[in-house]
Amino acid sequence: MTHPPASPFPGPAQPGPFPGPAQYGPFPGPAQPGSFPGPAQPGTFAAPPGPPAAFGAPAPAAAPVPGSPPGHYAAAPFQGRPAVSPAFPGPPVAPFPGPPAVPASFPGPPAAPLSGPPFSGAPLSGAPFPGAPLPGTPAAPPGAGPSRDGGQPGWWRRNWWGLLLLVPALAGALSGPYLAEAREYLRDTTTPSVPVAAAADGWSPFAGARMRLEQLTEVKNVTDRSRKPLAIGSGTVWKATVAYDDPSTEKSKLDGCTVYLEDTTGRRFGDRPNELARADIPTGSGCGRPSSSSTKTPPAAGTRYQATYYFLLPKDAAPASVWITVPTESPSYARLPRP
Amino acid sequence: MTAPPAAPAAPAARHRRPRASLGARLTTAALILATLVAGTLIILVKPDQARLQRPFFVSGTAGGPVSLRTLTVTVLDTAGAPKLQTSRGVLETTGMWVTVRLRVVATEEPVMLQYARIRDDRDRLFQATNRVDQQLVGGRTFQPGIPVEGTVVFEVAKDARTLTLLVSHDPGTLNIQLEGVAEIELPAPAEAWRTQEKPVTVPSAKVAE
Repeated sequence: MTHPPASPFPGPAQPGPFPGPAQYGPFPGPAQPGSFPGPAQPGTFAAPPGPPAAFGAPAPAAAPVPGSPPGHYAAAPFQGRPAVSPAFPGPPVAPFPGPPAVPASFPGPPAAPLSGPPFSGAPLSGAPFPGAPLPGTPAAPPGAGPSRDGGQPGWWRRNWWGLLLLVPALAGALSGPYLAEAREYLRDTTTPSVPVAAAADGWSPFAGARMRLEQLTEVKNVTDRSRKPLAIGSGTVWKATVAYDDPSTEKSKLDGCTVYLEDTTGRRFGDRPNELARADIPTGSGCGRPSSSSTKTPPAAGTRYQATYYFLLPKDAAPASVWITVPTESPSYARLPRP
Repeated sequence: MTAPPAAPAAPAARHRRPRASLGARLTTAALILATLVAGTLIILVKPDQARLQRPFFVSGTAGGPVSLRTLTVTVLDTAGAPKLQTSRGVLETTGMWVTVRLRVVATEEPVMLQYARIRDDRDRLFQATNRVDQQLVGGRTFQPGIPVEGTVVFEVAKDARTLTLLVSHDPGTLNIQLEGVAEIELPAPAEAWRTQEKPVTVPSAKVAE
């Protein structure tokens, strides 16, 4: 005949060396002093199984298991410190990140082997002592061990990675909304900024056509249409002749082009400025195929034709290249070097 | 012999986090509140779009060059009268004609002087008049290094006193954004101009030496 368990909490008994009255005792609470139903530390609480110790009787001294490594308490034979049964559903022990496993009133591990009457105070949990390690035990690594309250690492140590991530997250959140605007203002794709280099023969492929700077010369003695000297101050007039090879027969991309002359300092000058409005020079503008009989530019034959441009430069400016820009091709443009 | 009744199943052990202390909870609440307050303050203090893209005013005085990013402006002369002499005759106004002779030179690329205003002592803005053909504003392209002198004509209120010229190459339809604006206080004896009988003239523009 078997007797029903007397405890209302008949949890699975841990294979402790003292599976004694903790499972069958009349009290579901803390383990009875003198019983050791908890998980045995290697070489710590191992003792031959036997009858449970009498209530209040001195606990047997811990005896290392032969061959087992020395544990936390191997240096000091334990006396009279009962452990909590694993079946006891009381306060969490070591695996749980709960409050300190050892009651606050517990003064920590003894610095010297205990002696005297058995301790009958608060029950001992299965967790190691949160205090200073006993002589011979390795020290806990910083940040990984229990905190000052003995339960878990401090807030800063538990959240350092989150705080670290907060820095780039904050920077991204503050600067993100402005990235699009910064890209718009710093890299304006509507202005010519990417030159299309000319090949070895001087032709530059651009906007579905080819073009080459044939001639760049200074125009002396510029007059107005009444043959009077043109008032252009100390400026000088330059004439550029550009050859085009445009195979497009209908609407050419070059129709909407704008031509500039760049000097050696990077300044750009426009074709036929207001100051030359009265000058006796051929009219015309753009890069399209010449078709008007009013211009002095020879009419196009085949795919190739030429166009001339006039620029007003300061006296100290030295021309370097001609730019052909088309809004639909921006930011690319053809940069025709001076021959 | 019957088997003893099974004991009631033990409740499964749960991994429960310990309840945070009152101080920790209050600290968390305070941090959340501080974050919300800080975010609100940032939103309130952060400049709006109009302020972020406001123009850059460059102040100067008449007779001295004022350099913007794309051009340099110098006020050469100012005049004013109720009558304006043009090639088509004399134009009268109930206000006052103000002519400002400028020297303009572009710095890097061809630009146009598309914004020209006069601000008076009451912060009223008067744009360059369209009753005459403007020499410099709107339709002329300035070449780098080629200084051009010409006149800008304004029609301002008769009670305007202190006059400040504002010019820029930005058209500034609504607002000038992220562009330089020259701000030049004009030597304007408005009282004498209001009683001036002789019409002001508009010399033609020319390329300066």
